[in-house]
Amino acid sequence: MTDITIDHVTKNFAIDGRSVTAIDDISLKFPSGSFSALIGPSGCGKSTLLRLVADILAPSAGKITIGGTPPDEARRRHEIGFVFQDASLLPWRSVMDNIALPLEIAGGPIGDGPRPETLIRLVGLSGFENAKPAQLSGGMQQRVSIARALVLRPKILLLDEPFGALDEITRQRMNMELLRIWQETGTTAILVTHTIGEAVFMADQVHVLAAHPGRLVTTIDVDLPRPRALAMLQTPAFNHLENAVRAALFGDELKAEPEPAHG
Amino acid sequence: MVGPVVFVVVLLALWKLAVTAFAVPPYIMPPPEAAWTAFLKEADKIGYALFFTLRNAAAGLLVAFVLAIVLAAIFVSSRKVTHAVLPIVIGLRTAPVLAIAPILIMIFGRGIGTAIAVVVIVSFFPIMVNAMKGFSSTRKNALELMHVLGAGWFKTFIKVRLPFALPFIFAGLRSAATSAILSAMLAEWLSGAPGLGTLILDASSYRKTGLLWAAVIVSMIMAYTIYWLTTAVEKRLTAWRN
Repeated sequence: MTDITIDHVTKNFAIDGRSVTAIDDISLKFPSGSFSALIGPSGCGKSTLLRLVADILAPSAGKITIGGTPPDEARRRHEIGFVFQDASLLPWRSVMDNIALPLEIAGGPIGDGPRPETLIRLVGLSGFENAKPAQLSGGMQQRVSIARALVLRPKILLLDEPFGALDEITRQRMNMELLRIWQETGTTAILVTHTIGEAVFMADQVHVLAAHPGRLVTTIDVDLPRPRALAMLQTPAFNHLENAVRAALFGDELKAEPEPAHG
Repeated sequence: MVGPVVFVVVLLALWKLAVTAFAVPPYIMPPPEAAWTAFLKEADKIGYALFFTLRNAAAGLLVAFVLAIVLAAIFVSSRKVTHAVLPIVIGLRTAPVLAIAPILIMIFGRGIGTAIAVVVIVSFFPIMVNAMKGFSSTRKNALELMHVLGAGWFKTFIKVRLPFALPFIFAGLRSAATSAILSAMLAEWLSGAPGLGTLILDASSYRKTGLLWAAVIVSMIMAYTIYWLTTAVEKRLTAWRN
């Protein structure tokens, strides 16, 4: 069981000698095998929160546990898969060698982890095994980075706006594939996004954050059935959930009357 | 290959023209054919000298390369060590080799040791400065990735920092490699050990200007060849940049 618990976590950064609070006392629970989304405006600390879970950063106060253990232990056991905003592939390595990188670091597959060849098929890149990243489109590069994140069969999968740079159509397709892969692997996934529709479509729970300082506004449970299908995007239930997230994001601004035009 | 050949032909023609037009006496600058004749006549002497100079330059360059990479790796990992050691390194680099030559010869002897030391002093600095720039220019995401994957310092260095720094390292290596031949000759002038430098010095004192210029041109061709080889290796290792 790999649930993630964030317990009264605060993160301060020192900028020009001043202490700036990026995250202010956030507590969250991510159940084992769930898919959660973190959404909020820039400056709400959603990427910071993800980096705290991945042990890239350490919290200033509070505690994070992954399956009951601290993040650095989970990291050392190679239990964390991380997909960055840009694909972050090593440009001199082929698709195959980029996906195999974590295996080289861990010294081999973990348990009955998937083979790189299998993952290349899973993310739909058969025939591109020997291509270099520069020869691939942005969407294909991001598929490689997802395959790379999965090769050690991680217990948790952290996604930092993985499809933010892609066009709407490609992004929707990638999201469908990501959900399929997630359901096959059964990992606990956290997706950072700034797109309301994406958060609702992907997640079981959408955690809405506010900025300056980063704090939790509310959590919205998404009770849409799985597997999710594109047709759901047009249902009233989906719109209703989108509106709920929007209301949490914008608060009172939504209720305000538009200012009359001058003239 | 056509470009360099045309260039060399033009250069030789200019040389010949200048020597003839200004009636330059051969003890100042001989015509190209005199250098060529001297080259053919004393080819084994030049070859023998070239062997020593090349060996010393290559050995010095290798030591300089390893030292520069190790120092650069240490400097980018620790600010404290940088503050403590970098001034000494810069001081060593600034000290005129001529002044410290007696010390070098006393420590390393008149043979390959002093030659390596001089080549290292002259050529490790550009490699180190460029390598430091390269090591600290690694993309942040790539470092974060290695961290999340649980990679230690060494694996991160070998698999990410070093490859990302290669274009920088080669920029330094190119500049160091071309000066390595000259540094090796400088070492010969200081220590009197055999090599192209000593050959040039001897030819000069015996007014054998043909031999002198044959040796100078051989050393220039060597410097060019080393430059070309470095560039070829760089192209191969950093093909991913294109």
